[in-house]
Amino acid sequence: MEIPYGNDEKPDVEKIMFSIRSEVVADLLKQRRRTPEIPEISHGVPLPDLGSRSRLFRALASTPPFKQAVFQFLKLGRALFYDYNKNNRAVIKILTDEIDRQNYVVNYLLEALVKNKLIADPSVKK
Amino acid sequence: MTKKRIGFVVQRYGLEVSGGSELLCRTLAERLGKYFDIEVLSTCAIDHDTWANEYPPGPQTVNGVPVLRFPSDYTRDPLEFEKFTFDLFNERSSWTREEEIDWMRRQGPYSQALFDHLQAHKASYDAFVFFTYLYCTAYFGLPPVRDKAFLLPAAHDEDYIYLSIFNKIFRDLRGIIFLSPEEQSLVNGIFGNRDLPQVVTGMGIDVAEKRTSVEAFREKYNLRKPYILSLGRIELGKGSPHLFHYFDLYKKAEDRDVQLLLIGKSLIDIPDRPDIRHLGFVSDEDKCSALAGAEFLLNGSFFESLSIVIMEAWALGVPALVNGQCKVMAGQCARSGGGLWYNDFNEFRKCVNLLLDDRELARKLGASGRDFVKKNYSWETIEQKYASFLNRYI
Repeated sequence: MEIPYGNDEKPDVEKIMFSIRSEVVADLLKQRRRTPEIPEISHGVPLPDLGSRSRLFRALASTPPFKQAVFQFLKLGRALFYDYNKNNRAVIKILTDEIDRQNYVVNYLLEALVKNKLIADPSVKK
Repeated sequence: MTKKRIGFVVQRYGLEVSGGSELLCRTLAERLGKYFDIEVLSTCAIDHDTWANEYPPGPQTVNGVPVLRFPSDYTRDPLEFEKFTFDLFNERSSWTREEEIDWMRRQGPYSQALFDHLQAHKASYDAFVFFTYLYCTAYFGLPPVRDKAFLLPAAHDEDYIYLSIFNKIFRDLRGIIFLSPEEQSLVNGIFGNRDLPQVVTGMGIDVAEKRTSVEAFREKYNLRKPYILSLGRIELGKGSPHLFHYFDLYKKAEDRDVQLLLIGKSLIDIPDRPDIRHLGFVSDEDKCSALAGAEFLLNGSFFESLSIVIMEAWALGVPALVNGQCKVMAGQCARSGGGLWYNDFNEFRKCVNLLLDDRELARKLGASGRDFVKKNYSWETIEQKYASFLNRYI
């Protein structure tokens, strides 16, 4: 891994973490290409009608940590919105299945949806 | 000029008491005496599981600080309370106000004598600082003196903080003292109380040359291999089982001869395996030597309002790896440049490898952390923050 050390005195840890996340995503996408079947959708986080695909995409892409992951998935993995039209649950479920316990991707997705008021914040009790 | 009189109200207080916010309260009471006339108002409890009255009630002096202790009205059965809490939080997502208050009364420590004292002697204090939002001492003690009350909540993003009974506590008072910007953001977000006087302070760290002897420490505990250090209470709330799981996965995935060294009291079972060593309590000098000799400090806790141990590691130039799901610790690492954070096992694995393999990076992270602590968390800086905030709003 090429380490973005930052300046001499203070390592740029945000950039280091981004490099690490990118590597993790790249590794997972390699695994994804080896098993191209779409997993069975058995359960997942129910989503409301999210409107147009482009609206959802813009919402996701506007969240910086998730932005790069979105592009990588679209470019390499094609799985992010794969089953969107068929079942709203698919978006998250595919991620969950494909990425196994990669909570950060799912969390970023949820965070983006919450931030853009596309779903209610599941962490806030009513 | 007469010093302003401040009552520090805390659930338990004394040299025998362990716990982060209690230690912070005691340290501040001892250090801020040069600015204020401080009296500690607390219960007779030492054990936070039972709140049993162990100290005698009445006045006492602890390290030069006057302390007035009041007995708890009842003790707590920890198992019963745990079951009650579990049922309450896991079976439903909303509760009646009466149920929430019932939970708070069971949480304890409840001392009517302390609450009566606060009310009866309110006029003789210029202000009160309540430590920790989560206990009866703040919940029942603060409202009667709210116009003179400052709260140091030590809040985490945990279920309890969303209880509706806390709305008033966090809204109707003189001011709030936070330990980190992330804690401030959490509390402001939940309670919409950005308009209240508030400050982000923290706790001072002695960066002064600590005595360390890594070789003697390794010899004493027969530590021959490189080790990752985890420091502090070993329990569910600190993410210890999660950490053990990740360490196990890591050792299965990577052929690395590295040990996990644990220092601190254990409240849960520790995996019995040769690459995990538990030393229990050690002296301060051994603790510093353990830190100085570690590859890095690992903190897997999910809930912190400020992590002192990672700053203690930084004070010795040791980098940190923390659980990124604790926003406070991830924020500390991001601001300081002193550590990395993980959100899942794959990130954990890569971070561990990076810290073990790239010694230059590890050195730079440690040095950056040390600079950060020196600049922002010297006791002189921290004391000034508390003193100027309190002086301004009392």
